[in-house]
Order: sequence, then C-alpha cells, then structure tokens
Amino acid sequence: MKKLIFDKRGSEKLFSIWWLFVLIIVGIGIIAGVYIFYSAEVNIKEVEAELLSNKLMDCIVEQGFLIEDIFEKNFDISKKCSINQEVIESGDFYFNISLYDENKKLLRESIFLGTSSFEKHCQVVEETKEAKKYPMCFERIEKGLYSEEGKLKEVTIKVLAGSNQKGGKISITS
Amino acid sequence: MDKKGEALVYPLVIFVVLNIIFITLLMLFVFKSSTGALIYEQTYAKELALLIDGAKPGMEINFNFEKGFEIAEKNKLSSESIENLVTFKDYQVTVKLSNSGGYSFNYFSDYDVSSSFEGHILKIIVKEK
Repeated sequence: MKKLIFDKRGSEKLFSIWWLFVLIIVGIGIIAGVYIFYSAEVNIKEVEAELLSNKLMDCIVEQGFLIEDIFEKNFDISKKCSINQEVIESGDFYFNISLYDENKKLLRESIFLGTSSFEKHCQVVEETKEAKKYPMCFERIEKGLYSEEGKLKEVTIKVLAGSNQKGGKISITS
Repeated sequence: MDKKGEALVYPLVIFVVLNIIFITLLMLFVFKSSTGALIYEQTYAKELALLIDGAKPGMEINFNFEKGFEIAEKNKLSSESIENLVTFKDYQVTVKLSNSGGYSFNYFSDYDVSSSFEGHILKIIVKEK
C-alpha cells in the first residue's frame, strides 16, 4: 500500500489533492455548523403573547370586577392599558378581547388591535406544531363580575394575544 | 542534506505547515464565533424588551450586563459606544456590542423608559407616560 502511494510521482500528487479536498470539506462543514449554531434565533413569541395577554387581563379586571369604562363607546384600550398602538399595528402583534355573559352571548363588540390574520395562523400552529415562521398565540380565559342595573352578574373574559416579532440586526449607520 | 533528501523533506514541511495554518484558522473562527456579539446582542435585546413589557410603572430594574461589557471590550468599542451599549428609543431596545452594528427589538408597553450604567449594572427606570 505504502509503495502504491508514495513510490510513484503521480500517486503522490493525487494524495495531496485528495488531502486538500478533505481539508476543504472539513472546513466548510465546521464553518457551516458554527454559523448555523450561532445565528440561531431566540424565539420569544409565545412569552410575548403571554405577557400581552396578561397585561390586558390585569388592566381590564380589577379585583375580580370588570372595569366599567370598557362598556363606553369611545373606550380606548391602548390608552387605558398603556399599550403602544403603533407597535401593535406594526404587523407583529395582535390581540382580541371578548366578553361573554352567563348565556355565552357577547356583552359588547370584541376589542381587537393588530394583524387579525394571526387568529387563523395560530390555529394552524396549534394543529401542525411545525409552522416556525407563523405567529405564536396565548389565550387567557377568566371569570369576573360586572354590575348591570345595580345587580352583580358573571362575565367570562377571553383575551387572545399573538406575536410574530423577530427583531433584527441593524447596521452601523442606523 | 543532499538534493534527494531536500526534495523529500521540503514538501513534507510545507504540507505540515499548511495543515497547522488551516487548523489554526478554523480554531480562530470557531473561537471568535463562540464569543461573538451577535447571539449576545439578540439575547440581551429580547430579554430587556420582555423585562419592560413585564414591568409596572414606577419600577426600577437592575440588570447585570457584565458579559456584554466583556464582549464590547473584546470588540474594542470606543468609550462613546460603551456608554450607548443599550438604548431605549421609539419603543425599541437596541443593543450594540460590536462595531458592525447591533440588534433591535420592540416592546409594546407605552412607558417612558430611561437607562444608565452603574459599573456593570444597567439601571432601567420605567415611568408612566
């Protein structure tokens, strides 16, 4: 074998080219592996959706009671709950608040802001569990009380929030 | 060494030296990538945005930024850049640990956020608007 490789000039050259080829393959493999590993995205969409959902729920329910302003016609959820409307409407977020009475009828129109298609996208994510580029949602359902004509009634509050924010690398000029 | 000996030794020496150079370059690349800024910029920006969104007005948050400083110093950032490693502007937190840019992430809370460094601790003050 040794004779075959080293004793002939042609074989020796072939051996060098072969070695160079191996080095290139190994190099490309290591560079690709490291690049893929360190450019991995830290996915916090679900945590963001949960935070948004909790923030809204804590804002509209005070000590178990639904806030009264919510039934007003010009109720501004973003102002009331200190949520920036521009960020929510940037395309990366969505939320929907639905209030149901004891007969499961809507007490008022749903309050929503952001990209409404997230609701359907989130259903797809729930069914497939593999749609990585899709938004992630979090739904929180709580029971509370509200007063109507001096009587206390039960209300079911459903807050659905979704996020698809990826963030981004910025260049030195920005 | 006669000519025959030289002809045998030189290619071998070149071969070994080239291999050493190749392995060193690869190791340097792996080491630089592992201590690189990109992953830390992203992690810090997202962590800080989550902290802001989870905070309540009136809160003061102390955040350990030691590793960030370490990377910024390794990347030889100017003292001016060191002061602006983390900025909160237009509902966006930006972390810059290298001279090649930074990483930005939005927070949805409509708060007035300000920050300053006290040593390696990032002090964040969250106020109502």
